[in-house]
Amino acid sequence: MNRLSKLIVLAVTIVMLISLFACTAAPSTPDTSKPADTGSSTADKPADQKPAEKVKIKFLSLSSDENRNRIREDYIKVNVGKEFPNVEVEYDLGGGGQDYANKLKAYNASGDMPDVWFSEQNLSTVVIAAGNALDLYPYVKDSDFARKIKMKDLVSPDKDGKLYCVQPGADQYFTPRLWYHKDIFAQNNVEPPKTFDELVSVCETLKSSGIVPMSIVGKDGWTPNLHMVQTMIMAEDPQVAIDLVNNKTDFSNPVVKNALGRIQKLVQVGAFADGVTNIDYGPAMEMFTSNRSAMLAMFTWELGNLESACPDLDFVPWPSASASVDPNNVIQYWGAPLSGYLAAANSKNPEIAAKFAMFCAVQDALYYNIEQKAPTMYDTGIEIEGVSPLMQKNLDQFDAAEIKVPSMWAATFNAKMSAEFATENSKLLTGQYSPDDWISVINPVWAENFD
Amino acid sequence: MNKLYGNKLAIFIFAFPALLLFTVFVIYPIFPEVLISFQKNDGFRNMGYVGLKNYIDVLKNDTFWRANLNTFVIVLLSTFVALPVSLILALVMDRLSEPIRRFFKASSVLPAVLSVTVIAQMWIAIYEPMWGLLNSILRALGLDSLALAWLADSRTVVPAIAVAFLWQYLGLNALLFYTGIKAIPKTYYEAALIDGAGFIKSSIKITIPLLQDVTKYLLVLSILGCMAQFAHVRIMTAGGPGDISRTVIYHLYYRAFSASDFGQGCAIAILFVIECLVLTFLINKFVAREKIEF
Repeated sequence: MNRLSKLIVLAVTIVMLISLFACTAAPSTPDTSKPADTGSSTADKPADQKPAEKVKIKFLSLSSDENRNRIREDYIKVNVGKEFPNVEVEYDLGGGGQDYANKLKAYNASGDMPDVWFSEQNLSTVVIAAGNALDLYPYVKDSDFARKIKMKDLVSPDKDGKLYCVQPGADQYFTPRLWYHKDIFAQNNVEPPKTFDELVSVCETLKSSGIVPMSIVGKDGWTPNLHMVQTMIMAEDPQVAIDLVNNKTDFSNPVVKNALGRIQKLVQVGAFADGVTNIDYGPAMEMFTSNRSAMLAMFTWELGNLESACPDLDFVPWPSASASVDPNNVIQYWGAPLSGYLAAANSKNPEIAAKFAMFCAVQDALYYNIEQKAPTMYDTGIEIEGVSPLMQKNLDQFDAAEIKVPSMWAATFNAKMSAEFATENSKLLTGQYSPDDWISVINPVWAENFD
Repeated sequence: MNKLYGNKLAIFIFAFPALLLFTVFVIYPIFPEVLISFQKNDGFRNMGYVGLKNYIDVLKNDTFWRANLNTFVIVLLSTFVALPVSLILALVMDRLSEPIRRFFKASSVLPAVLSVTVIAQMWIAIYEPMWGLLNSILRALGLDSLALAWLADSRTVVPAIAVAFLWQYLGLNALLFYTGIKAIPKTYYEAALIDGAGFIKSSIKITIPLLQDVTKYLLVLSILGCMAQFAHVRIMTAGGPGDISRTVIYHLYYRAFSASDFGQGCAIAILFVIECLVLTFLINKFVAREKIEF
């Protein structure tokens, strides 16, 4: 070996050894016990010593849906100065859907989390498992926030004595509805469907009139992911959905296969727009509000926006697929214990991060109480007046329903299950993918979901 | 100066910074990646060594092979359609008058400097099934049966993404070909003209053979660029419908980040590195090994 080669080999070896030591050094493991050790007095010290110095925190939020944008822009940004005069917030806009999920996962993989962020249950579990979420319980337990939460489960610690998420308790009232334009229905002489067969018939009539029957968010299988698969299961037998949530059955259950078959049927009769697998949240909403589609499958979190955009708006509970199921008696609700605001375990200012998370949850509640006239489990002290007839109809049906089932997606799925579920549902929306194939892929993933 | 170039220590000192960066950011990360590919790993925890299971699972997975096929289709379209089109554009550009050529030069570079997001969104709008430009033109021409949901149809989604990707670099490649054409001595063309060769004949007999260095460079760049195709797929379809339009890199990303399976993600990465090495070897072996001096 000549001298140059020896030099190069030596240099490469040294560089690799240095890299190896540098990269394999024990990372500063986030200390989840930190908040418990950090009493408020010690946490307050820096603020006491340097009252004028602004503390910087980073806040990651969803930026693809109107509600999240308005909460951030019209409430959090407006009120943060009064609540936290010495805090400067950097707003990190994370998009929505899988984009948001992947951004949060990338932060999680790096261990360098934003101080506070919003996430759904399936993402929260990933961050918590990595030890990157702050235990909020020491900050929440004696707080004004905890006192004003009506559902005490939302501020109670888990079996390990930890509380990782704070939320306004608005999610528990969100449920998927089948929204429709009364005018379009009247023009086409169709009645709101009560059964699945009627729904198919309505879709066929509207399709033959050149109207897109139903607008859904098809990209990444969003609508089937978040509710339609479960909705179709509950349309035939709500108990199967309850059993799935409690891991007492799997997706080979015949009711699941029938449910998937019903979605396939809707695709095949042309219930959805052409190219539905590539339609994102915004375009799906716009399709309905611009009267290009007669119906919209969407959660009630859009009720306020839809009411202001569509004067002829109404809804029906999702049609049943069995004579034994009364659609008015079953509700699928969105809320999950880990859907809300979390704070980073390695935040330089854990107390401020925890308080900011609670502040965000309060702003959520204010937004829903004031703008949407929607109730929350957090008592803002605002009397919700002038509730629209449609919101009242929604709340009345919600309260009257005897069977209330949490969302599988929000409350049960881990990250892998969510990803595979999304892929398979996207395939299902092509209309050329069989329920059997869907089940053969999902069931093995489901078997590992609770590991 | 020549003495300096002959000094091996001097060569080493000059090469060291690049060597250092290459080792730290390219060579070194491969080793932990190989290690993780033998683990059950969710990106945060090693949940035990699983031997070759990740590789077996990846190789048995239809989606991996479809992703390879999709990547291969994009590479083929790039090699046999996009590069020849760029070459033709360059030949045409060489024949244009100066003001028109200047316009072509500027417009050639524009798509390449635009953000991928802008390009992808523009093509999403072009392909939109109901009001998109492409289907509107087809319907206006009475070709309603050809108006498809381009990005949602399993038959068209991959070529549709490939067109958007290749279009972005068509002009830039043409400009590089044009630069190569300008380096060819005029005397060759003058001699060919005296012998009665026209534009097509002189292009085939003189220009194209003498562009082999540029062609090889663009071929390597284009093939490796296509192999690493990710951003257009992410923005335009997110790999959908289902997993139909995933490329290898997108599939890797999906397994590692969406499905939180870093073990399989790293196994895909290692297999992809091997694929790229084989491809680079083949290009070097079969394409333009002899250097032509002029």
